[in-house]
Amino acid sequence: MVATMRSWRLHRYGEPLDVLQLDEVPIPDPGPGEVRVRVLAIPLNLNDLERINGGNMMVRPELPYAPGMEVMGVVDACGDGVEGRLGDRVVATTTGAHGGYAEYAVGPAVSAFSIPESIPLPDAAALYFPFHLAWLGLVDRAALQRGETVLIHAAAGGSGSAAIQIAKHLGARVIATAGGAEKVALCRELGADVVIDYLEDEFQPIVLAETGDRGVDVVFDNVGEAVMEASMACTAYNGRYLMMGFASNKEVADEAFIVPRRVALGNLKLCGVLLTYAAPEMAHLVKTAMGWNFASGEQGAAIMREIVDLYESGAIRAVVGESVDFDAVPRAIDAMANRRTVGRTVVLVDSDPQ
Amino acid sequence: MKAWRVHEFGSPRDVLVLDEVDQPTPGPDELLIEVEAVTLNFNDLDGIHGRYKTVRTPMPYIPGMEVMGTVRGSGPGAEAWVGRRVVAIPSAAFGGYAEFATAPVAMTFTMPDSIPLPAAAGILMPFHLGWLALYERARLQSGETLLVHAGAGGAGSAAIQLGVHAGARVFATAGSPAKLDLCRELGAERVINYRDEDFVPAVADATDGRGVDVAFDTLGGAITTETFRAMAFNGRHVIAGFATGIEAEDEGIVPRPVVFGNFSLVGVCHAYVDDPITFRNLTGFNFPAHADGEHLHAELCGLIEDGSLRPVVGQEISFADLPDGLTAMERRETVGRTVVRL
Repeated sequence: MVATMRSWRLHRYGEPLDVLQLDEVPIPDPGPGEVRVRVLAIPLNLNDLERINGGNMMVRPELPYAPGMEVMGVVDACGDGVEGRLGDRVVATTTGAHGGYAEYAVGPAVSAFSIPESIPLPDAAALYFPFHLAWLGLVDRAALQRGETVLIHAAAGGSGSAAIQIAKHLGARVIATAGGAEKVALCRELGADVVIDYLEDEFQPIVLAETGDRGVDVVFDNVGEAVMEASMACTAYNGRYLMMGFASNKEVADEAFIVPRRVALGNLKLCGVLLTYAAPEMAHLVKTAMGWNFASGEQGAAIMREIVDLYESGAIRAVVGESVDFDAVPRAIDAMANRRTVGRTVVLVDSDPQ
Repeated sequence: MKAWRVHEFGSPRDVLVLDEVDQPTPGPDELLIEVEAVTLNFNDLDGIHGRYKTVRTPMPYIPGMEVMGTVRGSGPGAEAWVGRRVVAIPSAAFGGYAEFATAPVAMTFTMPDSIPLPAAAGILMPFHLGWLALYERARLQSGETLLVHAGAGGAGSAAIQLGVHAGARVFATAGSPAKLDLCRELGAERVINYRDEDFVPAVADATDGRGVDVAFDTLGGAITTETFRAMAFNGRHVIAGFATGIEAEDEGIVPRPVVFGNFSLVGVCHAYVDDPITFRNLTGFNFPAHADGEHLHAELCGLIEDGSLRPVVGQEISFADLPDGLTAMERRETVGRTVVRL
């Protein structure tokens, strides 16, 4: 008899409340280089939405399938070559960036990072994607320096709230944008020096006034099109503009909208940031075939250690706006889609060990 | 004074006419320079063909965006410069193909007597651009790898040397054996003839498949997007020119390869202003201060005096031959810089 599990799957694309249904499906087995995670928690990501509504996806999984690109749990089965990971408490990326809305999920071992028992749930589930993205952007790409100023958009969201904290830890001055009083209050509490409610005020004149008309040294932008022009207009000489997602309009990722003249006259760096870890063979294949660069598992593990240390020292905290149980997945992702969430939403899963 | 002027857009030999015109008059914070040498630039050609959108020129107009000479007069506020030996970008970046040109103080730098012609005329554009691009914007580090496109050209030959000076491993592309020899002589460890070798696999081969940390790209267009494939994780791709077609300056680039490449597109605009904040408020552009330019200029001149860097002047021609010099440049027959002596 095949062991089964519960999984939120879609059989057709649509809105989360319409198309996600709770199915009983076989527990997946890990392939070579993969681990299977008994899921204890599922942190939701805005990018999960594309895999529900059928929007912009590079690889389209075959229907029906479970969305869910990030899970936290315990490794309970290992594929060939990664047997040593058995029993690890991990945060992990799912294979093909889907399959996480389930009691068990498989993912590449290279992007499954150990997270110590000392960090309780739901926090343990909220420290991976946003903090790694903030680190890759602010530390790796932008080399943000003490005393510099950084503008962080959607700062009360998962990535934004992580970015505020990493930037403050690095000694930067933070100007944050967020929509609504509750989100503004969260940004302040996390240490943002200036918070702009974009529902009330245009950010560009405020950012320029706050920087003596110089502009900011770094822009942390995971919104994209809706803020890009105005944000570039308040980026300083030698500034670093982090392009890390296109939440406001996914299509522009493939449209020719970066005008070299604008980058040149701005004397700035337009930095691409993608959070993806790959094993050496896969990284080589992707480099050769597409010219892309995926980070190594060693780099991811090193970043994870930095984040765990910062968490344990109290320098950063997990920002979990809401913990919900497994039954509430459709409602929770719908709330995220409608910008009603603050920080991260973590789904706690009461999965039984096999 | 004598000046080469464009009366209609077209090829240099067809449209440049040697005219007798009035000497220009320097305005406030401008200098009148008696020109001893004009150095030719690719953007001059774009202007002469009517393709250059950065600067609007009257018609007829005198091209020429880089001069070397002696200050003979000044507008109010710049009197202290009279008598100095200088290099300059003329006012509005044209007007240099003449016996006298005006230039804003913000775009003028003192040239020490210890650096003779023609080297003195070969420094301003390529070495300032290369310095701003590689050192200030891309922060090229010792031990990193640098790909220089068109390595035998004016900008490229400066970039190779600045790369070597920073302790980087330099790879260069060029289009003839003589040009490849020059790149090697300037310190490039791997040279690639782009006419018979694809540079992306060559770069992969030289970097264990990683790609380069920094690319210095003065070509633009299809070469730029091809170069994206040769960038390493955390790399910096400097957009420093559009020699394969100036239209590319305004043609959009798709962000996905940049985001998925985890590298940065680096803009560099070589122009200085007196007061960056005032200029920014007027235009929205970030230009560095003249004072910062003076600082790097002094460092550059020191490195040229001690032989660490050398301007590559491949052609020295007379003022009468100026249109021929431009045509040779257009046909990719030149090496390093072309200096026109007056």
